[in-house]
Amino acid sequence: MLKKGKKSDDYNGSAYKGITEQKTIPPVPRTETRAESTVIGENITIEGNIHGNEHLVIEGSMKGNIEMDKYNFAVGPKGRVEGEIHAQNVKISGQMIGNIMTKGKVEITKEADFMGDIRAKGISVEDGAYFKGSIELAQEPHRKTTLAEKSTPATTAQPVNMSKTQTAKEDVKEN
Amino acid sequence: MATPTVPVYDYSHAEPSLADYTSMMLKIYVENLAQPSVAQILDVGPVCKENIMYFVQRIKRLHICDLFLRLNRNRRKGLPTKKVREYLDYAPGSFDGINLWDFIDHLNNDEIGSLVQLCHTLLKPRGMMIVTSFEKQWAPSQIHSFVMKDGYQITFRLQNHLDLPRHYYSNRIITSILSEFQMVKSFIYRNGVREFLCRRD
Repeated sequence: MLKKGKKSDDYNGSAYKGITEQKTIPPVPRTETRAESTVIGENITIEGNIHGNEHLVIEGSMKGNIEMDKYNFAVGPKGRVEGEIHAQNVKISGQMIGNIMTKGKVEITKEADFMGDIRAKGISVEDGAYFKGSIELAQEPHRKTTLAEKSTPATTAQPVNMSKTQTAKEDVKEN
Repeated sequence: MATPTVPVYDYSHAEPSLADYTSMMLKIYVENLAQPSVAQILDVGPVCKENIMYFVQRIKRLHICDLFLRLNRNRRKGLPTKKVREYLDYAPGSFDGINLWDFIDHLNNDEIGSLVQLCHTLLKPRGMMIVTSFEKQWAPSQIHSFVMKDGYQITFRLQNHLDLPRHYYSNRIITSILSEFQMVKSFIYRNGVREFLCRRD
């Protein structure tokens, strides 16, 4: 069933909260601050592409591409989607096969069964998510850090506090 | 005036525990990956958001195929065990690095050999693979993810949803299995973690 204008609390599940709550998503166009979404119900099957100008939640089955660059997209725990997604933010809690391209964040919850490639500015994957694919973070070229930049490299092994960490013996011997 | 006391740590009677540690292998691994900006790494799990963020901020693309979950799902459903290599259907020479965190301990001897051989194929020339395994007496009964932090710190997080049998392989067996690779470095820690960093020629 198609439902419109639902608020997050009406979805009866935290899996959808990220799609509508203002605190968890980047700014969206002003007309969308009332968190209106279209929900494709469990018993609906769609084949074909969707172009949208409002948030969309799939609880049923969908085969086709989704283009909604400025709006959020979610696959509910019982949802099944096969296609390519272009959206502002994406949350996957159900089954999905296909690539995701967003200007915002992708969230894969532990209930998700996802296979595909992701390109996004932010990514969150919960432990337990069934995931096969790849992730590329869209960053400004000058912000791409070098591999070891964020760590604190040392030229030699440093003595460490044994109460918190463990030191290593080099070269495991055969036993 | 009280005399300052020096803490004494006696590990002789310690129960197996997963204490945090500083991974020297990880340090060498991340500092020696060629051309990080175009590097592609494969991680076979368990899925861990911190590790994902660690790598995606530093390399071109991180590939994830959580083999723990796949084996676990088959086991729970009583399905015949699919060969591990069937899940890793990537083109030869795809990766600059492959991460095997505590995975070989959950495979039988035949499967490890097959997996390692496949990983050798999947790596680019000079590509590196990290392998961790537990010492027998320190091996936890449950599966934990190796959570990477800044400064090459590793902490552990229990993965309650995973339940796979654990095997023990001696250093001799592991180095033998990895003989197709050039061994870069290996480490053993007080918490029972063994680390092996190897490179394809």
